[in-house]
Amino acid sequence: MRAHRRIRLLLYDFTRGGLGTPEHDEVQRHLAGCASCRRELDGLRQILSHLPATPPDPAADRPPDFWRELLDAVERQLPPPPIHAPRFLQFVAFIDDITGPVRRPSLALGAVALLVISGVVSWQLLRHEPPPPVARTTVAPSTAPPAVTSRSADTRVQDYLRKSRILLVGIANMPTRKDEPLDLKPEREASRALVREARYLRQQDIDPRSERLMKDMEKVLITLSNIREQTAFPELAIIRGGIERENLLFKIRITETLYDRITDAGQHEQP
Amino acid sequence: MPAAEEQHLLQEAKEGSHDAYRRLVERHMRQAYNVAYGFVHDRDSARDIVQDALARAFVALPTFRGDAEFGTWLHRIVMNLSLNHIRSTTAKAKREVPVTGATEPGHDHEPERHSTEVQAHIERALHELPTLQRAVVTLRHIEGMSTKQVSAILHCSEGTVKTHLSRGLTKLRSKLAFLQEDAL
Repeated sequence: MRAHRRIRLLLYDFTRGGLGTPEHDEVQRHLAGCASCRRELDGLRQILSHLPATPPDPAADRPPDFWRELLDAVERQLPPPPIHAPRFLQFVAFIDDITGPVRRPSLALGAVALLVISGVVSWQLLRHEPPPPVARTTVAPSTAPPAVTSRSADTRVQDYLRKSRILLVGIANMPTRKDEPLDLKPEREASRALVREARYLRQQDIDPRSERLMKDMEKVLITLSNIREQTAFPELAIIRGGIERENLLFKIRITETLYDRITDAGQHEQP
Repeated sequence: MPAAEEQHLLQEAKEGSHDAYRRLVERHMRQAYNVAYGFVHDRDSARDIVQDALARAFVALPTFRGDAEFGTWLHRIVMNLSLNHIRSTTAKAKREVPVTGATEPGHDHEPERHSTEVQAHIERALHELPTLQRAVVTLRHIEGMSTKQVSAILHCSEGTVKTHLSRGLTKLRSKLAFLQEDAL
């Protein structure tokens, strides 16, 4: 019985010439001595004679417009392509773009206006409030990364502020192009590094203003660290909203100004 | 399309390039249409199924690991959507199969009309097959795919494909017995 069942499963390929020599011979031998399977084969041949002998090609009679319209319709259904992001290092070039030769007057004008307003406001604040003391801390060798153990905490805070400013300015001004993929890997890596650095610095004895700023920055940086590239459009908008809501660029600039003053004062005190 | 070129387009499409995806599916959409048509026997429905399948495939591309060929993967999506379409319209489809004049097949002396009627009977018989048997008969016999390709699309063994093909053809033979008698 098992032999009949096995042979009947091979009959289709037998009729189509799709069996290898050993199986073909096996089927022929079986058919020679089995009337039941011969009847099965005859029946199969009859039904196959009614089915299309060659594969039909309904696609063949469709006009070229049909396929073009189909692809257009599909494309309209697709989610928007991710946008291309400049590499982290290109942020610096981007800043140079708007601070160097004026190739984009409106952008450069906006940046200048922002700097002027920041300067006026920070001057007003600093005139009435003495800058908070910035603690000069000793970096614990056991927790600091080996490569920077010799750097003081305030230098590292300044470095953190500079990198954060560059990163956030880049994100806030990131050009979006519909037809280019978005690659935020460098930005994600930079954000992770900044989050790690902030967590380390907040354990040190740094000034309260910087500590508050790092806390405000953390949520935005973590969101950026975990951004998913496939859904970058909405998440990028969230990050930009966070930068604007928390007024992070302004706070960074103010804190940087304080550190600049301290650095200048320190240099003047030196003999 | 060379495998390397297809891989390149696939990678770009995975990264979200519409243009790469368009070029990629241009090579597969005709067979995808034929597969869909083989199931639903309706041009508009086949077009809708292919359009839906291509849109879904793009969204699902990040999950495509390349275990099978892209074409096989796409045909599987087309087949699933076709079967869903058939399930949702089975009763209607049965009613709509053109059986006019089918009561007396063979008594019509116009060869062209007779051929159309025979085709209608075959389509109806195919529609009445259980889902898997219909899928195997359509892909294996009508579309001319190999047992291995069909097993990849249906995610089953080659033995299972052969079993469903054998059973499906036996049922077709039973349903279309009158055609055989007529032919004799």
